[in-house]
Amino acid sequence: MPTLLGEVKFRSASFYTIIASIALLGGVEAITHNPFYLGVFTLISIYGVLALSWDVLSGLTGYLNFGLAFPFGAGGYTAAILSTRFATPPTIAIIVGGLGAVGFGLLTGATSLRLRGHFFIMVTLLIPLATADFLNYALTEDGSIFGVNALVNNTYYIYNASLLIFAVAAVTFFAVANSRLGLVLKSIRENEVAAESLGINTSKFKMVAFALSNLFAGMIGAVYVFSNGVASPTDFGLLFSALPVFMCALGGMGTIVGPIIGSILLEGSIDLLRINYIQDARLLIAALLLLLVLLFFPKGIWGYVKRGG
Amino acid sequence: MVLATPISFLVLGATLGVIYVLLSEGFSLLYGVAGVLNGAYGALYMVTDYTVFALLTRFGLAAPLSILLALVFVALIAGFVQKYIAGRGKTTLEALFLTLAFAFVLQYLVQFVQCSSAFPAYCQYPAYVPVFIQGSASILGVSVFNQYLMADAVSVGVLVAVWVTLTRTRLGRSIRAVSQDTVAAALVGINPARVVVVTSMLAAVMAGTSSVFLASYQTVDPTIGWSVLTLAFAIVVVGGLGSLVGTVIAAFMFAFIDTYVLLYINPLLADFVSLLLLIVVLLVRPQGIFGKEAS
Repeated sequence: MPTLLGEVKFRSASFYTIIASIALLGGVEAITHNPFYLGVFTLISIYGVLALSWDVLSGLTGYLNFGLAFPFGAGGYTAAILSTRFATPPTIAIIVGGLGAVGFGLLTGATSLRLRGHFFIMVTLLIPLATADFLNYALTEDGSIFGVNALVNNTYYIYNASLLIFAVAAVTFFAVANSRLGLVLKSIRENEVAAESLGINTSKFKMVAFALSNLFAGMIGAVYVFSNGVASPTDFGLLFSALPVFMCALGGMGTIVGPIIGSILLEGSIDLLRINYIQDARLLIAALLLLLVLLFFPKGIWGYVKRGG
Repeated sequence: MVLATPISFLVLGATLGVIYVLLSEGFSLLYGVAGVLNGAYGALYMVTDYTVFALLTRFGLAAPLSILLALVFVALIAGFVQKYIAGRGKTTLEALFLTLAFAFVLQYLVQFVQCSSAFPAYCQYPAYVPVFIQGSASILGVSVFNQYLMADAVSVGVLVAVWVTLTRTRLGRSIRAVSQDTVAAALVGINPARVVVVTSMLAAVMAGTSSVFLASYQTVDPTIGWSVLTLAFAIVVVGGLGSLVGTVIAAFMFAFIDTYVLLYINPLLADFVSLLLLIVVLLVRPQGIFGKEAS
């Protein structure tokens, strides 16, 4: 059996788009040092990584994960505890946070990935909600009001860290999607039983995709916590589960480029517009867009670009 | 809350259980008939609360009229969702994905209208629905709010009405026919799409009814729909998808667990314990405790 990551064709429109998006997000620092713009582009990177993490599991395998907030929050909490209790430097805390999210993910994934279709959706939706409930209870018992404090008071560090994670995630996931591993994952989406009948151990590959997804969601969760200054139960909130799905659906699921386009459009355009009514309605607009795209353009933006070109 | 005794535990658990039965039977009915897990079920519950809140406090309508109008309103929304969003030959998975998306639309719409620079006058967060049935009664020495008792009475009434509709009327026969065999039902002249739309409206009324009487005792905010959706899903799954009797038993089980945690452990853990139970059941026995076969 040839290696799983061999023979990836990097010369493609998709890959050039990915490089262009990394250049776009990274170029901001060269042009402006305005903290507002740096902040907006940091958020685009953060949501971009979440959307990419969603796509590598759900877009490729068809297991629709509505609980990305779980690795996101778990990574954040792990990093925050490391940095406050053990004075770990932020970079190491971020990496270990990602690994921590993989560890927690092994617990939830080993069990939830056995379920199919709507059961998987509902269980993934429930896990972060249950975790947030428990943490809210733990907070009141603990006496601390907000959560675990851990601030990295350095806009550039946060910006560079999220950009780096974004770039690594985008390139890695592109390689995964266009390799033999990606083919296996897509075969699970198209027909899991047929894939199994060909001798593919689908549970193993689902776990690999799940772990990859959790690793990057956890690392970016840690960055998010360091930029906010606190790890709190809201990190497990619905928003971090829902927005990545919106972004992937808008850009095109299972394409890796799609989530990048989706996150730049949703997070970027709406934040940069700075119009009050639109600011307040941004989530409403995002949800409406999701619904309309799902109903009328199920392939998303990149799906249509690719078909046209 | 009240002093926790075994009797108060039983009485309060039972009062809550009746409401949970209504809440979950609506969800279960729609799944049985249409094969649709409605991700917007909790959002409909939330919208009912907000509609009643707006009609009562903004427009000063009487409580019964507000409730009636709110129920008509959510029934129309549910019919619309079923006809134009979840219907048209979608699979269960697609329908769940789309209805979840619609639930987000409803949540953010309410959030936008309730507190944004566009409607500053409406900003009251979270919303409190005033108690509209005053007083409390004593049952076996346990004091229970009259509004809770009314909720039980109405729940039982709605459940009986649904039962009679399903077993005694032409519409009920069509609903049961569609749930057993869609193609055969279509062959004898039933329009399955229309039956499913009517069923989803019925389910929305069941969700809405269970919500309005409880609204006065919880803070109403745009996200409450999610815990309702997970509760309804938990009950229906633990009871076994499509099993009406199993759903009733599971509803009471969850009501007693919630009451127990509320009275004896910590109110903040109530949701957590029921979610944990659901996750364990899903992993150990996905067809539910009273379900027949694995799906």
